Amino acid sequence: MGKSQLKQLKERLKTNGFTGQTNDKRKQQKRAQVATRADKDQLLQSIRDEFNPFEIKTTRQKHGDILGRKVQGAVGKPGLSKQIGEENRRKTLKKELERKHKVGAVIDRRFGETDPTMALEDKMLERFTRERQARSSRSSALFNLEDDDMYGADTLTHLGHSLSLDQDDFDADVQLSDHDDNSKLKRKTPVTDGTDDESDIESPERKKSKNEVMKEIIAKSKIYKHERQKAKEEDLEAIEKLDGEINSLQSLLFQASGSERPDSAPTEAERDAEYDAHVREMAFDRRAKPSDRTKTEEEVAEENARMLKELEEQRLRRMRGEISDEEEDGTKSRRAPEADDLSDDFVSDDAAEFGFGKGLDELDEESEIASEELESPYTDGLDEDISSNDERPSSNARFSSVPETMSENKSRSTKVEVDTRLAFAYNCPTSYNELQALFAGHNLEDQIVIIKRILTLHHPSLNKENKGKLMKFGPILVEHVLTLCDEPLQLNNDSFDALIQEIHGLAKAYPESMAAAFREQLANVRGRLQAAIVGGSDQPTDYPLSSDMFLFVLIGVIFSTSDHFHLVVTPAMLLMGQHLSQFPVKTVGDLAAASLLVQLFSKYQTLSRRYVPEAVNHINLSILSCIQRKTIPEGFPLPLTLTKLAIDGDNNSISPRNLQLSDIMCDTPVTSLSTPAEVQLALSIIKSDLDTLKSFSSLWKGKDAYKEIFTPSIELLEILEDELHKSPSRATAFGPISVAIKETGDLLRKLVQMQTLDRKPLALQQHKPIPIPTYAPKFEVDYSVDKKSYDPNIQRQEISKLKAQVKKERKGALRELRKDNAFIARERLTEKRKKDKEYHEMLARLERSVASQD
Amino acid sequence: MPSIIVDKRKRQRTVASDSIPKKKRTTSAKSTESAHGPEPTPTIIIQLEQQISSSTEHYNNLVYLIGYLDRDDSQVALLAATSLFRTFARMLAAGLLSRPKSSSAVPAQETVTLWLRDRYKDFKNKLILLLNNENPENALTSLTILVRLVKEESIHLAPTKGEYYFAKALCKRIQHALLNQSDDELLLEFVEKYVNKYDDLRYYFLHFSGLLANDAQTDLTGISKTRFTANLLSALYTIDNFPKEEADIDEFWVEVPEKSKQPVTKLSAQRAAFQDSWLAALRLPLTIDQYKYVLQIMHNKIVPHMSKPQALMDFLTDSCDTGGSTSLLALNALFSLMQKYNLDYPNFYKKLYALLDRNLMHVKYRSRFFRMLDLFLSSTHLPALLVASFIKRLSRLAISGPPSAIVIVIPFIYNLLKRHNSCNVLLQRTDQISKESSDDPFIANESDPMKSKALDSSLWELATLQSHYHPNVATLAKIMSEPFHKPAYNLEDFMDHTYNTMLDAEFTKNIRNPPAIEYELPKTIFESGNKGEQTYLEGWELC
Repeated sequence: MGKSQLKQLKERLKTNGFTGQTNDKRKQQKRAQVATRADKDQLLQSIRDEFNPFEIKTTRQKHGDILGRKVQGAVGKPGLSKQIGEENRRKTLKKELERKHKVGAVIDRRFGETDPTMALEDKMLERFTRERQARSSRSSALFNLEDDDMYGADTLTHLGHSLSLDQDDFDADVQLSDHDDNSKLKRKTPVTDGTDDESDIESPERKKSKNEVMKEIIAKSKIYKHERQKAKEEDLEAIEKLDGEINSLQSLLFQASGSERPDSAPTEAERDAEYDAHVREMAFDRRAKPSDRTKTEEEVAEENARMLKELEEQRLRRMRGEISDEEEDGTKSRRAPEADDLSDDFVSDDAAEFGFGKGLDELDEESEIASEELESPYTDGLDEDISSNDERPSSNARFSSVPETMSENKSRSTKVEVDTRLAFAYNCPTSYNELQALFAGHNLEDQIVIIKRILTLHHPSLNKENKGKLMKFGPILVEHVLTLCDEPLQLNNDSFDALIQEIHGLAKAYPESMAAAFREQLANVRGRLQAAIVGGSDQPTDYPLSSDMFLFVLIGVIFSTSDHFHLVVTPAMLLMGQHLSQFPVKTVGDLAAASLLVQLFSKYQTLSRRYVPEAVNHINLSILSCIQRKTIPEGFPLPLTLTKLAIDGDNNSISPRNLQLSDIMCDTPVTSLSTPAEVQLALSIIKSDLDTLKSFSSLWKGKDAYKEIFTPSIELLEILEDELHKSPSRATAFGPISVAIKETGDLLRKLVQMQTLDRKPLALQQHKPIPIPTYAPKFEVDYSVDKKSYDPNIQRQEISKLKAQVKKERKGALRELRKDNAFIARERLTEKRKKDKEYHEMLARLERSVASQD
Repeated sequence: MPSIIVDKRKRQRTVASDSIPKKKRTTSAKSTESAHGPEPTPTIIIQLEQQISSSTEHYNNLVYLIGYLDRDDSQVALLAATSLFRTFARMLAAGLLSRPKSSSAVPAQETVTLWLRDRYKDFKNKLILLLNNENPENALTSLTILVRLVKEESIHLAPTKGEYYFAKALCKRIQHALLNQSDDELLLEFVEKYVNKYDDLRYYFLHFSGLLANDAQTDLTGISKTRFTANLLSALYTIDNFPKEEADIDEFWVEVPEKSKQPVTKLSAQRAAFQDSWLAALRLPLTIDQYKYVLQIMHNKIVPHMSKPQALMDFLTDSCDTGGSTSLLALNALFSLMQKYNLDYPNFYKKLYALLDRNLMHVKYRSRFFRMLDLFLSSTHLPALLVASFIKRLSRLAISGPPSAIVIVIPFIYNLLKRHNSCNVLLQRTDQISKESSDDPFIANESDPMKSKALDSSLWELATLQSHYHPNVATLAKIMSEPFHKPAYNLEDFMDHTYNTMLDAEFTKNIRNPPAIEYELPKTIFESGNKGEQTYLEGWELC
């Protein structure tokens, strides 16, 4: 207390025995026991620290008291560490800096010379052991036969010169470079121990330098190359010689085989070419393969069965919608929506999620209302799309081109003598007109023969271009078939089927082009359907044509209608639905067309058994058209104007017949049936509808709403039966189909009863309830401030640990680099100053000398 | 013409200052002399007019001029009308036509005044007749003159000087004539040119149209009544620029003295007149179109300007019963009244339920209806019984609806179910499985949604729609059997689909993968003679 620093220091040193009397033997001994040199150093250091409190820096913590614990700030000696860093840099970085741009150096490769951590004794010891080891390994190599040339009498020579001995190491072009390999460096390093003699002896066995080896290799390869060239020249000479003799040899040969050959034999070149051609042909010849053995009947049957099974499985998958376009492309990845999803950030358009296109553009509300009333079947105007969507697909090629081509066709058949004989080769037509020209004058059977010939002639395996041709041919055939349906021709069922068969075959081979063709046809039908709906009841329209309806039949036959989604079938069904619900029925033909569509719906859904509301609605309406009563049962939409079938009189003599495709074109208004033929047609249509209803009733068995679907029909049929029962005039009018009406009614009643019996209340939400996401507060019982992480996930914990480490290291490295840069800059500056100083001194000296001379 | 008028005005001032008729006149003698006056030509007409203004002797010229108004020559009639207007305007300004005070000192002058007033009345009658003239120019001119006369009268014929006076009688007569015309062109011209511009004219127009409508209700029948109704409605539609604040009432045809407490200047009075006229108009028999239009503009054009919107209640309840989209519009108006003006209408949901009829899914206003239905059913406080009835009925309708309608119904029901958890039993019923409940307890033709027992039913219809033929509809219907993760579907996205938009979507799809082809063709497509063959289309022959 109160003493000066110096006094305190002295005292301290004395108490620790560093100063003062050292002759106190006992004390000394005692101290020696306790304090080794290291201990002494440590002690000294602590004393030093104590007397230099400015060296130690402590960071003050802002919150020194955390949870009742005193937290110390970091303690360090920045000055010291800076000094150490500086020293280290001087040792490493400065060295490097000095070595920069310098090529050679003498590197001390003695063991441990650059290692400051090793004590001198250790270094010596290690060097000695190495020496010994090296010697022992050499002695073992003495008896190694494989590298005998190292020690053997014959040394390695090159071009007759010895490679080893007669050169002095330092005479040669040995460079002092870093690149030289170890052996050389080792050799260069002066051997420190007393092994000089031995090293002298060993010198002949030294390894060749890399340079020497490379030179040697180059020389060798040159020799070989030269030899190869020489050999080749010799060969060529020999060949030429032989070639010169060939003529004489050949004449000898030909004389032996037959001299009747003309002298003007093909020239050499020709023959060569011919030969080459043969060789090439042979290369392309199909190699013989072991053919499959003929299968037994069972095997064939089994294979067929397997294939069919596979096809059916594929079909089922398509029906369930398991393969859809989107999924296969992987573009559609829907994640299950979660409870806290905001609806707007998830999918912008909810409807788009389900693949609905864009709806109508937002109409001006007032205009929407103002244009509300339209002449359409339902009370307040039907779907708005009709009025609002004016743009429709422009009339297709078929309908713009058909009339002229047909007329053209006719004129040709009358004027020009058409060759009705069949040719064997036909060009594949590229347009419908060409096909027309090709088929002119041929009946359907011949046309099929022609088609078959075209298909054979243009088999894709024959020519690359054939594929493209046939892809175009399919759509043309479709157009042809559709045109055939509109023509009042007598078509033969069998040949018609055969034609369809061909189309089917083409569709199988080229589904894409066929699908595109059908879609085009559908778009065409759609355009005219819309025109017919918009045009209302007054305008005569060219819809529905027989061909329009047959297009749907064709689609049903050719494509797989049970698919969940199908590029052709889905739009076709939508179109049929639109027809059924929006196209106003005016003529018997319209009725027949609708009846066909309804039946087609039942055919389309034979396998997939999907529900079609429009079909049932239409059948209900057609039953309703036979009813006179004003009270109409609920359960189906009702058009504004009901069409009533004007059937009366005694029709018992008439029996319902099969419908015909041409019936669709019948344009007698429904309300004025006069001739028995028309009445018969109307009755047949009703009967067909009833049959379709029956098929639906069996198709949709098991649907939950079976009762709701069929109740309106049952009620309607009951009313009809009742009417027929009560009024004899109507009974006679509907006589031919009264049995069918009763049968259908009975069947439906029975089925509905059965279906309702096993109906159970719905249990659609059977899955486990949606868990509410919980965010329970995390609470650790034994919380410690020091523990860095309480992450239960070990992997994540490891990762975060690594990340923290990386971050720390990165910071450290950056700091080091920054310091390095500062150091370098500093060094450069001093260097420059030094140089400048020298320069100035030199100049001053010179000046002085000049001045003194003066 | 304008130059002439300017001339006349100059003269008018000079004349008006000095010449006041003082002589008594034997009018009957003069008029018998020449009942029709000289043959009318423009110069003569002007001459006659000048004579009148120059001296009182020529007052008989008035009779001629009035007589000219009946001439077929429209030019003559026009000229006569304008010159008469000028003359009478001068006289009005000079006070010659003011009602003589009972204690008038000069009886002769009183006689002249009375005579002049009679002529003035004749003139007005003729002008009103002229409104119906086939020549639109004549009609328009007479209208202009009449409206200006209203101004002149109001200024000069006030019973007490300086008080505010408005020539109501003339105004009413003009309006009566216009409203009973066969077309509304002139009326609309009147409304646009004057009524929309001047706050007092509007006030009186509304005031009188209410009165006239009440009269028409009782007096008119048949075609004239419908004509009147149409005219009145189109006039009322045309009225815009209705003041929102009292400060907006600042344009007057006849100047209103400052600080006067005339009803014209009061917003409340204006509103009352507006309301009365509309109510009277709506009491007239309307056609469906008129109903619709009125209902459509009601919430933003009529209701805001009414002093007591609740008065519309009767009209709205009546229109609710008309059915179709009219009822829908009426319900919308009712709903806004209920929301904003605290109207109490207990049968609202019953009426709404009745609107879910068999054709709802097919009508044009479908999406509009669903927008409103969504609004009406947006409250979470609705009883579950009611909501369940709506859900069940919607699903009943969906089963016979077109795909575009089903597409609305499904997310709609989803949102309702999500909003009303207690209705989830419609999809998931575990308690009754043991019970024998094969038949649907839902009473479809019950008109009261609270009594339809829908809550005991199940939505089998929606389950069936899961196998709808349209793949997208079927997929959409499947949301009913998936966990209800989504808080709500945005209905707007599903509203405006139609067959056409769906077809558009289908036709724009590109062919990515080859479409599946049927593996085997049926034996024959059409029925052929041989029985037992597998036929695709049974009962159909090729030809």
